[in-house]
Amino acid sequence: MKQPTVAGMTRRRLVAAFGAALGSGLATQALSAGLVSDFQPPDFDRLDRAPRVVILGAGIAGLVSAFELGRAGFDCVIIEARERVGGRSWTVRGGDRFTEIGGASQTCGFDPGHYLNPGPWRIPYHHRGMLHYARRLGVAVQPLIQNNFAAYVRHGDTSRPLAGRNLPQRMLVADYFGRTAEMLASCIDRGMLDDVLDPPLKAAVLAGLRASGCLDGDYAYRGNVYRGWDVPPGGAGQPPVPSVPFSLRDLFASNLVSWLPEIFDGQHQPTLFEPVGGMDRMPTGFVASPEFKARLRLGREVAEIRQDDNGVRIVHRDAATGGTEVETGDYCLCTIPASVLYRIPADFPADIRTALAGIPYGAASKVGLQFARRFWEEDEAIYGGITYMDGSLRGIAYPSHGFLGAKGVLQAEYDLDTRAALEYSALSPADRVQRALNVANRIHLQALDSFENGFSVAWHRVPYTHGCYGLWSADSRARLMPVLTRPAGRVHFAGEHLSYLPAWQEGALLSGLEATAAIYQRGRLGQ
Amino acid sequence: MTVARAVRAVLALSLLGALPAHAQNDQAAAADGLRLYTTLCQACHMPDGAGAGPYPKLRDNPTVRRAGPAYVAQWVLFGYGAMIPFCNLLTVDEVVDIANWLPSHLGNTTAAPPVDPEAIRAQWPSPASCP
Repeated sequence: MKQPTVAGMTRRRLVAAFGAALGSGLATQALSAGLVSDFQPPDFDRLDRAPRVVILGAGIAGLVSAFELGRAGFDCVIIEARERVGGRSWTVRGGDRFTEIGGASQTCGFDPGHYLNPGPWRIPYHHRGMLHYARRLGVAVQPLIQNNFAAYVRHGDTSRPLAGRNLPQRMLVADYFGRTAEMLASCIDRGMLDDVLDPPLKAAVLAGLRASGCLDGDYAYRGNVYRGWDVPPGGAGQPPVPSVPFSLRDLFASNLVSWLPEIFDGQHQPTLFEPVGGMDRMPTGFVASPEFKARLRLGREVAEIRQDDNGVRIVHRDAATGGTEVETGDYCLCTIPASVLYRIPADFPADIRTALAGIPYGAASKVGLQFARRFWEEDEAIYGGITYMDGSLRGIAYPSHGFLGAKGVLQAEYDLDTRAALEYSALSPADRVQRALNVANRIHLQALDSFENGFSVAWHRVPYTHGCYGLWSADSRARLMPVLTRPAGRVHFAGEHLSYLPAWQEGALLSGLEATAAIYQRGRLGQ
Repeated sequence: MTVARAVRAVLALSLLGALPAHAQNDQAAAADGLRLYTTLCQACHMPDGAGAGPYPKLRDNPTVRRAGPAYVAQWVLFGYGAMIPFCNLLTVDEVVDIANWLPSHLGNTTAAPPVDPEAIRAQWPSPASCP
């Protein structure tokens, strides 16, 4: 803390944190640009010849590749094991039937207009690739509200303060800023940081802390207007009564502040979008486009991936009857998840086989719960957003569509890659729904009375995926990802797992376009 | 040993507290093994070790029986293919419990020796190689 260089850094960080008015303003623009994905729309010339590409998998990576290669004159066919396009970009609606690995079947009972996106459900504003194609394909999007200060944080550890209470996130945020500013300003005011703050900076920091923490003239924090009221302002007969902030001890000993990174996460900051009507509007939008020329073979499992100097040869079989057929091409784009692909017979060299078997897929589970009335809106004024909690259920997301309507579907979601996610996966679909409902009822006591039906998806039990997304360690990413981002002869690989945006559609899309550009170049040069 | 352990396991259900300490520890470990199986492993390997789709059947599994706890521990620690590594999800003692439990439950019996916490700790993947 006392070396000049460290002090210099501290100064810069403080200036950045308290805004451009106090410093050079250098930080703001660069930081917001730093979130934006490196997407560039492909601009391929149309070829005279029509190289043939066999694309394995009709998820986002496969579809974007088929779309762009088709526009460049390539002859594409997509082999897809499911009876639908989209892969993990999937929407479940009333009447949909789903059988998971192990044989348990569910038929969704949601009312018309309600749905669950078991996989991706959000498109952040900086996922420029996804938004480019939504624009291009005419897929309507609407804002998805992830951060809602009226939604709650909650913890259940009775050995800590504030346990078992629904605390609106506005209180947590207001008190965190207020109490930390109060503490820091008090130290600075008493000269405790004079060795790192010269007098002009000291004055600026104190002014900044007073403003950002809503401190009074004595640098004391006594709550603020965005924290909320004990009695809200009303008519002339109801003067407002301010609420009382949590003490520094309660605030920090509760450990609720550990949720703040979730609230401020770059992937969670406004604006986020969702396709109107469900995430599968993106994949179906690709296929419905007049520019989409690929042939689609649905319900066909890839049985073998073969190649020689002249081309690729893909053996695929009917998922229902087992009858095989062969598709040949000049190149193959393989977007099958590594968790599935490592078992498929293929002419891959040993390093690729090893890499494919070295990418485990993270656990994740979601439950959609339909309620007869939107009690979170009617009773608690929560419109969209997520209530965060500890325990077996990490969050309950409130729908960002159908506001003020009669019914709604809450999305109960579980931590990625945690025991909780696996514990839900280990239950039967009906037990997952019951467990999620019980937890929801602890937050919202109206839940049990209003519950109508539920639907659950545990990603390790989803056929043709075997997990939610590619899970890297620092070592495996450094060692194995470069192996799979090079082609194996005429076979190129793509998918969210081959990106630095794992589990996001943008990662699948960027990976798909990287492989597509490589295939385009080979096709153009006739290699 | 396996039979003795199974007998102890049954007895201990009613006699817990009346048994010597080491038997109580064995019983507690077996209970933890069962709990770990039913709350985590069966997410993929299915209730009762039935297996399904890409996930191997663990009931009456010849490789588990032959290769025993050390083999199970390898899978649990490092994963492979669709099997996730549990190095970030389980404690050392839990890896020991499940590795020792599976080869002598779900229809399996084994002559292979049990693993102990020291051996598991020595093999534990480094943070950089544990996803």
